[in-house]
Amino acid sequence: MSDPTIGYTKKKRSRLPIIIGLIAALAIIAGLIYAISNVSNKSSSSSSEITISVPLEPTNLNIRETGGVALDQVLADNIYEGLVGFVSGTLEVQPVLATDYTVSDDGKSYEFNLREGVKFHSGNELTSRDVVTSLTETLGSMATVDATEEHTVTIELAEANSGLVYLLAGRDGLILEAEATNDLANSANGTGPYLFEEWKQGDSITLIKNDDYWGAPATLDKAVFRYIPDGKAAVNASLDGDLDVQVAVLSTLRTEFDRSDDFNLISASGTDVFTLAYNNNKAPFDDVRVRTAFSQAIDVDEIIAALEGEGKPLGGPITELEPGFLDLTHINSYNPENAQKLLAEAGVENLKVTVTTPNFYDAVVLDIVATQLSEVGVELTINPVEFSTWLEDVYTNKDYDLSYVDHAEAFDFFNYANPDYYFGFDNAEVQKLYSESLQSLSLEDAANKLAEASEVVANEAAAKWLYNYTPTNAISKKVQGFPESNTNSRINLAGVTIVE
Amino acid sequence: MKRFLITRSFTLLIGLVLSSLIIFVTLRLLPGDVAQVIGGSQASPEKILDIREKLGLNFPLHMQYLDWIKGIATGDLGNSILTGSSVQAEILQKAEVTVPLTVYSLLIGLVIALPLGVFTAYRHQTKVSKAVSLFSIVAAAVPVVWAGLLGILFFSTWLGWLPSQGFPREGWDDPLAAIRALTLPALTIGLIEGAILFRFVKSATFAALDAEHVRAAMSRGRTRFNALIGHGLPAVGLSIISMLGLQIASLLVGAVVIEQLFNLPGLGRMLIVDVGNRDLLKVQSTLFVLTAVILVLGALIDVVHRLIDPRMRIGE
Repeated sequence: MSDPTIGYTKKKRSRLPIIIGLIAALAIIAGLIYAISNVSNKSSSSSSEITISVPLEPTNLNIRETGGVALDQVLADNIYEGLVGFVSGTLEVQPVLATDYTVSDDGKSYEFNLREGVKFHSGNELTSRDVVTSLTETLGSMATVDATEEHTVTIELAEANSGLVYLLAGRDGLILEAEATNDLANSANGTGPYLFEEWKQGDSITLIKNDDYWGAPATLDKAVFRYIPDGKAAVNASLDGDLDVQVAVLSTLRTEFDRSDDFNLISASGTDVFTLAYNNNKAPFDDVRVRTAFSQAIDVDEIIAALEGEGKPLGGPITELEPGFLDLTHINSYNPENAQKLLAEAGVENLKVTVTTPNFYDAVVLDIVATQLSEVGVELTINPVEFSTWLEDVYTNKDYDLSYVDHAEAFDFFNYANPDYYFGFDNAEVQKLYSESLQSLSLEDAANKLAEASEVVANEAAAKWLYNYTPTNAISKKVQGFPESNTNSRINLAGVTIVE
Repeated sequence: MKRFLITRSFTLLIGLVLSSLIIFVTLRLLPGDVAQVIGGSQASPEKILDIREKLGLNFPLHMQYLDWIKGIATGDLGNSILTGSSVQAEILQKAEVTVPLTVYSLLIGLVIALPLGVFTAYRHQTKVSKAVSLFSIVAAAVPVVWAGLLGILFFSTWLGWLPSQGFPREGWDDPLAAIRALTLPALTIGLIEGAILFRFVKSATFAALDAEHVRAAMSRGRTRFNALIGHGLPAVGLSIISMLGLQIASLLVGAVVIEQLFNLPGLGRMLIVDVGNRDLLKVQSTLFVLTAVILVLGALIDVVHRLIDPRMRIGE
């Protein structure tokens, strides 16, 4: 310890902090200048790589357990295949892993001949055992599946079901390897032309070419499905040149593509039905007059105009792509005077109801519905909730007046024949016609019965089918052969090429 | 100092336990259920029950909480209900976007705030200073989303200098592309953050200019500027450090919003998706980690403050 001295001595201060600060500041400024000056120097991707943006990401990859079309959209056709499948962009059934099949006269027994030399991505050969294991699991008590010979599989149905081939071409028909031990939630092992490479959660799924494919070889080396939930960000990605295809461009943002010559905008037909469901079990919607009044109070043309034409009017639950389609738009078409009369007859005046809807749909549709309903004296409250809340309140607990949701799945008419579904629609005639349709021996008869049933459903105003969504896809002019319909449920990459 | 460390660690621990409880309980109040999300709108009630059973969602809540806390205490954040993947790994992967974004924003904020703040306080009468101050009031009040949209419009759409969205799939293996991708989002947050910090630096510098020890230095013959840099700024630095502790929380919130806007696969976007899917285990672990980061940083800043500010050690 030294004695305290009086006076001022200059303390030596380190200049290090100032120097570090200066260097950091300069580095940042240099970084910014670099970032800005390095204008759009995109690494030119090899010619056979495609990047496709899709709005909705699957919650996990387990195709056996996880619902929703987001999984089929990417994994079906490209990675997983069934005995039969759909011709790309349609709902026409064609043989895939089976070379052919026969149906017994009573429609109860199907025999499939398996293709030989098909390999799973794990390297193992496809056997009838894999088919039996997969289909026994998905068909459950509906059928008994047996391997009669090494390459023959029979399906014995408990009851005839004309819809079986559609079922087998869909999710339930996909064949997984019986012996596989891969983690289904995070990987995928199928027989398709593309291999699963990576799922970056919250970002993308990447597929690469399967060089060992049994059929026509994949036309792309790599396909990246990017998940961009924000519509504006997706358009920006397209315009930045990051995307080759953008599926389902928001209608209000379509004009943004006027700035670019690189894309074709293509309207894709599909099976998405935006459904305003009535709670048929609950007053006042247990009264057909009230349901009819609601259906007639809504002018779907105005809605479709607001969506910039991205939808087709629909009078019933079945879309043009599906079997059993009938133009039913004349049933319960716009007639507000009659709607008012019907409401008065039913004795419900000054009605106040709430529509529950997942919060990710364009709000404009329900705003229009609310305005139109107010013109016949109905006060509509719009209650946007998270999808998980919708599933609990509406789908499971059936605690709702009206619901607005996209029924994207194809062949989903059976929901109107099932009184336990959240629609609560219980009509003996529809149930009878539906079961007759299942028991029909030809697909044509089946479709006719379905059409008849859908007409009853429309006349009973089981729901209001606001529109059949026809999303616009922005497809780069470099891309050829991209499917032009049904892209919201399945994107089959077969035959898609990139030409520079 | 030792006593301070012990009491500070104790309050930190209480803070962590309380926040874990709050996070756990509030998440259970949300309607909806992950089993329904998995099943979707076509699954039968039996199938949903089956999924619930498989996922172990039928355990009593207090058991679930204790299980979770026990895991955290042993450094295990659990697995996602939906994908079964490790939450730790997911957080680390997404942090590769969020942490650099936060640091980048903070640096930009500091680069803006420090020199301008000191300068405008030093020369507060000039027109330039007044203009800068006025601009900072506006910038500090701008919502992040709006600023981000303006940034996209200006830098991407008109000038075409910066990408308006996305993060390279190669991540940091392509560091230049990664920095480019983060630049516009970081500028957005950094500008707003800088405006807030600027006002703080300015008033702290103002106070320092007037402080007795600075005036004393001037009376010993130093110039006003020299006295400010040599004697005034250390005190300014201290107040900025404590201010930063408070700002880290708001920086993280800004990152959550901006990640959605710029389509960046970071923690913020992951949280939004997971909440929507009701992957509660993953959400609660992620939220807990974020809360813990903020609480621990707060504690660390308190300690650092003590270490470098002799006035706080008086009486020990």
